[in-house]
Amino acid sequence: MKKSKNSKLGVSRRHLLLAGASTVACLSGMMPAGFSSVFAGEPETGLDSEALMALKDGLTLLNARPVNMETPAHLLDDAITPAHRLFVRNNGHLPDYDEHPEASWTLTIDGEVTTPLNLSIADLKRDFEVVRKQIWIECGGNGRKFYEPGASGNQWSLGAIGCPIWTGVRLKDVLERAGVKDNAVYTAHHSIDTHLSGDPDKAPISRGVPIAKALDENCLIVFEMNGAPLPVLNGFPLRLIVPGWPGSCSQKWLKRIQIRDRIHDGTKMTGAAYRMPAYPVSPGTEVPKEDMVIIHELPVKSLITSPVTGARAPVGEPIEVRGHAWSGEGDVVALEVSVDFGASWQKATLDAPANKYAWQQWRADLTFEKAGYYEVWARATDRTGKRQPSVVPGWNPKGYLNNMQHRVAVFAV
Amino acid sequence: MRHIIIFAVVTTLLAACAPDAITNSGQQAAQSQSEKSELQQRREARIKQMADNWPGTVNLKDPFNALDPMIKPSSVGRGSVFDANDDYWGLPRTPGYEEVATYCASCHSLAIVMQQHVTPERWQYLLTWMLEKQNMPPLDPEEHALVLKYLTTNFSSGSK
Ligand code: HEC
Repeated sequence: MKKSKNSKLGVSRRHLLLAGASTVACLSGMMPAGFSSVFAGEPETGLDSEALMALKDGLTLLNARPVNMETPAHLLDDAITPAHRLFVRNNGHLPDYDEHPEASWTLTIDGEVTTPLNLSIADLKRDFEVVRKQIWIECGGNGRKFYEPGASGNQWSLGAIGCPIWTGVRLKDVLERAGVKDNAVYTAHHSIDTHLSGDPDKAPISRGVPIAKALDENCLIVFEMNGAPLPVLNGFPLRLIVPGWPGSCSQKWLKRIQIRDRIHDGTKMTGAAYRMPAYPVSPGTEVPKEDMVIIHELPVKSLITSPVTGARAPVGEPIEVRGHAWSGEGDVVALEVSVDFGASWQKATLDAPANKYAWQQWRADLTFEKAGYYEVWARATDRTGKRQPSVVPGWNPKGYLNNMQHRVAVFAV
Repeated sequence: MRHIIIFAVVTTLLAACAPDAITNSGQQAAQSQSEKSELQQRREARIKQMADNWPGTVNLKDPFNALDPMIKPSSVGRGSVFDANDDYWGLPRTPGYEEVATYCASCHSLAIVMQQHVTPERWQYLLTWMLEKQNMPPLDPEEHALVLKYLTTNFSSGSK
């Protein structure tokens, strides 16, 4: 089959309005170079999806159908990630908002609860305390690209991470209102994006977390990001934020949280998805399903957001190197940089997080005394004493949890 | 290069006949000083040339970007790059490309296929996963074998 032009739109024009007033500007002026060619002739990718993607300024497109985009490290320099710089990891097609408009959007809490709930977004805002927290969200496969042999899935390099401010209510408060029964074991998250095959009975993704994690006061049901409605590509109008764990736990376009008396077995809960081998395996090993265990916390990690790799620095003058650090275990306690391939390390200044699970800013002044080629390496240490490795850590079939030290190339001239 | 060798010979001689070296030390020091600064100049010129040759701007769309020390070419998918403007999305034209274009581009774009550099065993697993879990219509055995061969030839670790 040679490709055919098929203009079935993923999102209707009306939904562009959801994206905010800057849409028109984005369509005309802000379309990143190369985007139009990426989409030429792609079936089932309409102008509106393109426009939504164009709102993501400067991101690298890994796949247009379904949409998957990551942010180059130097574009993650802001302490608070703006909407146009937050990565996108989608498993299916965007929801049909004509069928599910925001005004009549409901969130159902059911399963092993004493009082099932059916809440509108207005109910959530009215009946529960509204909280604002800055929380990082990262795809479990961030860094997959660097595994050898390759691990299947989108080949994320560094930028499937971001840390905006979320506004919403505590998941805990909502679950307590519903009354979680004693036999509750796991949550099951459901949304209304659609499976790539078009099968209405198949979910593109439906993950969950143990009840204890769901009752952590930092898990949120959010309706705003950075004080504005959630971007469509990031879950408009309602999503979960489960801090410190793979981004897939933070279901987008959230419609239902079912409480289950067993570990949830929805799409991407089983098989190799978001699981690691129970024991270290040699690269390329096919690991049986029963030996794959569900990932919980993501490991300690950091990024160098300035200078950009490829930059030039003046000899003998200090330049500021800076970035962010985070850990699924909570706070990062130290950040060090090296310009001699890890032979020696220099301590950077590290800020405290805005709140638990916000990433932390760090900076260091570096002076290159001699002209030549350098690599700046950064390594974070979290409060459990764990540090980032200098090499790609243990190979695993799906390429998760790569927290290798970030390196950027700098030429001192 | 020649200068370096001469410098090395002089230094070795110096070390070998120490008394001589002491008497001639002033002269020798002056000589090695000027050779040193010539060497220094050559080194500076080389660094400058190296810097001039260094592009200094990152092409973030280039998966083999030489400026990014995170990326070693061996660890990047090396089949070919997804091209929306090509009739077959940039698929390498080895036997099976039409079948892959037919069977693998209906649900998702071929970008997700062409990014991979997985083992042949993983490709086999992925094809089964696509059939059993993702509603992919079954292929006849011949086509199945051809598609698998194509994927492992073009988008596997160690190929090319
Ligand atoms: C009937 C629909 C369908 C067809 C046809 C199909 N796929 Fe897929 N494929 C999917 C779905 C659904 C996913 C998961 C997408 C996600 O979660 O991001 C997927 C994911 C993938 C992935 C990523 C795997 C991973 O580990 O995440 C690869 C590689 C892939 N497909 C290759 C192929 C190839 C090769 C063919 C043709 C032989 C094919 N697909 C045909 C539905 C399909």
